[in-house]
Amino acid sequence: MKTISRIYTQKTSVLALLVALLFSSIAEAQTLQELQARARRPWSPQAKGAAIGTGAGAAAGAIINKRNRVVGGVVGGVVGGAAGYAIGKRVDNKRKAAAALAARRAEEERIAAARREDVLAYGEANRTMRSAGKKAPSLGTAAGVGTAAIAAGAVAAPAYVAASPAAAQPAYVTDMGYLLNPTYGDQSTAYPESEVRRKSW
Amino acid sequence: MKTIQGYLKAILPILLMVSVLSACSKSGEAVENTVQTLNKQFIDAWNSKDSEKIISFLSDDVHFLQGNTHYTGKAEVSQKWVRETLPTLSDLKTYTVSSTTDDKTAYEAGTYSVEVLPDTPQEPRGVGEGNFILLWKKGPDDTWKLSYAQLEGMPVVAKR
Repeated sequence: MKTISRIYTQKTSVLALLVALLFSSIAEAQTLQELQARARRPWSPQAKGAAIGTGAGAAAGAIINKRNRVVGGVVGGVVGGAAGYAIGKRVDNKRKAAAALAARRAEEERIAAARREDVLAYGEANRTMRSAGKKAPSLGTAAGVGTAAIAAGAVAAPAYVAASPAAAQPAYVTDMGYLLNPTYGDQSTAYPESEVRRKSW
Repeated sequence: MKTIQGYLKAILPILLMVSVLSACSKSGEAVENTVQTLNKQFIDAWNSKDSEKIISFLSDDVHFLQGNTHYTGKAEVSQKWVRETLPTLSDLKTYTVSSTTDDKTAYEAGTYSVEVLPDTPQEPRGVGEGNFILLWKKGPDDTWKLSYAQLEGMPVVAKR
């Protein structure tokens, strides 16, 4: 009778260990489709960490607890799984932060490129007008200038870009408060490479 | 009587030297004042938008350097610097850091500040600052003419 009870306890413990192993990967899965989709996707760092931690912890627990290896394995598996999950979560956070930074830099570069194109277009329009003996146009009315290119990308841009001062400021002043160079790109002028206006006298 | 004559003989060379030195000093001051007056008239002409007066200060072989540009000769400098720049600025001020004058040349160098006027009412005004050097040379007819001008502008700050 005692032997049957012992076998029953061991089976229950093994079952608990298996449940703990599977728990980390299926806890968030709601439907069969989700499970299939998850199976196709690579494991998240949390899932990887939890699985490795559970396995390693269970093995270590079983080795350390010589009196009752099953209990040792379960306890080790739970502790190892939790530690592995925490490590995986930390790795995931770092990856997300790096991805967000890269996306932000790409967005800033896109805005800067759009602004450079605008200034170039303004310089071109300005030269055309002046060569025709007309007064230079304002940046707001020059072809393709300023807000247009930025606004075109604002739909896809994250919320912080749309709300940033760069997008809100008039196109003829830079973020730093300098006037844009109306002759940008015109090699016959004093400062063709400078995006901001430098000629004043 | 002889003693007085002796004193006069001794003092006379000293008096002569003093008078000569004094004349030289006055002449140098006069030249210095002339250059300062010229510079003032030149800047005043810019502020009063008097292009003809500005051009009258330029020598025939004047050089103008700014960034990538180097204009040579009165005609080119008059058109590309004076006439094109004049409508875009007001309230030009210079702050002399260094100046020297001799018989034939004089220069003033330092910094400047100027208000930059917008092309259209929608655009903001700006405040420009930079460095300048104006080199004057005395011509064969003893008139001072601007021989060399170099300007380097800093980024123009939008006026709020």
